[in-house]
Amino acid sequence: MLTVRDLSVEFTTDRGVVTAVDRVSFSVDKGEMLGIVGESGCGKSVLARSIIRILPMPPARIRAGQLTLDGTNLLDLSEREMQKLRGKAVTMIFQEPMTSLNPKFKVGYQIAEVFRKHFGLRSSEAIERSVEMLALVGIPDPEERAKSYPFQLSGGMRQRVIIAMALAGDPQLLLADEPTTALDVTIQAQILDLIREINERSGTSMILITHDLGVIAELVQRVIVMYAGQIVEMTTTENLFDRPLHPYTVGLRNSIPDIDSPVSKYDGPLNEIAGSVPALDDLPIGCYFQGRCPKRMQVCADRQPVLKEVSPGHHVRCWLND
Amino acid sequence: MTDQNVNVSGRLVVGRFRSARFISGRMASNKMLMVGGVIVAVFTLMAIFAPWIAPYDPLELHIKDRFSPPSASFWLGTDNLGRDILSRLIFGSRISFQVGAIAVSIAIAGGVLIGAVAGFVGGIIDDILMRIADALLAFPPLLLALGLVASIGPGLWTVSLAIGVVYIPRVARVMRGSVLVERKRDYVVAARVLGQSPWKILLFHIGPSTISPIIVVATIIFALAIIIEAALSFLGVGLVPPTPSWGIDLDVARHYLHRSIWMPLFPGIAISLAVLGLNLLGDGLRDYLDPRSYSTNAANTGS
Repeated sequence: MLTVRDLSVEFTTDRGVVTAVDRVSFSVDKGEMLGIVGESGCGKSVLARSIIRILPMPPARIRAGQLTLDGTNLLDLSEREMQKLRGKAVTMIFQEPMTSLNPKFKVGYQIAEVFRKHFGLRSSEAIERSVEMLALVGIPDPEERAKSYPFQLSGGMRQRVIIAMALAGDPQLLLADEPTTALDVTIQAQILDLIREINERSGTSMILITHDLGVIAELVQRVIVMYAGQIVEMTTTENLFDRPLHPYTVGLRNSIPDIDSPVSKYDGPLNEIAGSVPALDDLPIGCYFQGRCPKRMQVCADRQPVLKEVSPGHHVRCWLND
Repeated sequence: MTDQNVNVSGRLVVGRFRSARFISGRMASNKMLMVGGVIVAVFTLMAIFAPWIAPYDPLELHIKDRFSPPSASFWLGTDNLGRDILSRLIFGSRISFQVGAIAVSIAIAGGVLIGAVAGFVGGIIDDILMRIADALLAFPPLLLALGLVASIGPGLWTVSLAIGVVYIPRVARVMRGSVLVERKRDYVVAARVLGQSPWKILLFHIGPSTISPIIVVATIIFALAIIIEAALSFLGVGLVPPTPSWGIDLDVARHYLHRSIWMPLFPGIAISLAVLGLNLLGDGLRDYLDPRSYSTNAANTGS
């Protein structure tokens, strides 16, 4: 449904051009949930924003071999045409439920805006539909809640409202950028349940961006691991946890504390990946992960590995698998 | 809980008076706002009801009582032609406030439009508009207004127009600043990904948040407009005598300093007081409308 081939996003900065997303290719099938994981600054949010085209251009520049949603080439569309697709064909939800709603309008009204905009509904009808949406996302007493202002709702409630807004246009593709990061753990679980339920019921495809492998394990079928703008591993969720191949993925996997071995100051430090992400304007020749890789070889410093399919559906960018 | 909610919603929703007592309570606790508001209100009432409260016609000559000091019949004395100073002051407030209102309307209309376009569109358009604004801001406002009035001629409307135009860049800067802040808000980005059109985002999501800084800058410009009108009239290029303008009265009084202290004193006090009141009101409003000044009450109802 969504096909991305060789998508690159470059930013022109004072210190030259940096590549935030580097020749990324993947696809999402109808009804599929794809996860994208990686550290802060690995390009996962920029990737999502480039698909829905809300990056400020300039300084950003998007290039792609192909970026099509249901046969429509998104990069060929004018801003006005793109605007018609946003909310209806593709939409996005963000990390911060506290600030993603306009504090000056009632939540019911804000959801109704989507119905007015995309379906040309009259105000009363649109409000009715938005009450239905609130009920759909599990908000108790939706008729009353529709009349609430955002500050009267808790973080979890607001995130439900935001999801309701995103779903109001009945999009084919939903980009979720860290949708649960700002929430309490118990609320996180509820929101994840809601997202799964919506995916199952409406068949909306989703790209879930997160740095939380727990969320990945809960929800998605396929995972992309990104590092310094590149895909380093792309595989099924099962493989990611059971047979990770890239040393970076292995590191991510190992840094999850095991629930059976209680961590205290007597057990030594938590597992971590040593070092930090290299700056995008100062990337090494060869593999970008070489500086932090425990299995570094001579070839890693000389030449950059390519993303190779090592077994059906399992792609890795590492010389170890050559 | 519910009581608090009502309170907070009362302050968030402009034009909804669900909790008038809460609002007036907060206003009363702000002394600058109160004092400034009262002074401005008094002057405004004076301007509106001038013909009913002024004891004499401001142009009426009392030849026998020229240069009279304050007395029972002339509370603030008379001027060189025997006109009642109090009446001239009262009618003068009318002139000052008319000039202020017209000038502010022009400055706001032009400045909001230019600032919104510059901030929202950005890029080269922003650069061009703001460099022009910078160039205009480099001139002292009085000098610029003087030049404008000199080229289009004296009179209430031309003076107001000149002052208004001079302050357009200042409003534009404030407007651009708040648009730049607001357009980065998460809910503005969220509206974009839901397919909202740019002008609707500007009008509904960005616009309302820019109102309070604009109100504040409007109050300050009102005060500056009064000063500049008085200065232009004092310099003889603003309004034309015998219009009862505070600036003109000061100018005339200058020639008779050896005869009367009352002639320059009262117009001077009127100008100072009006400007002080407007400045206090502006500062008070700034504090009052600044969301960061909401203290514990708002913080407690976060969830």
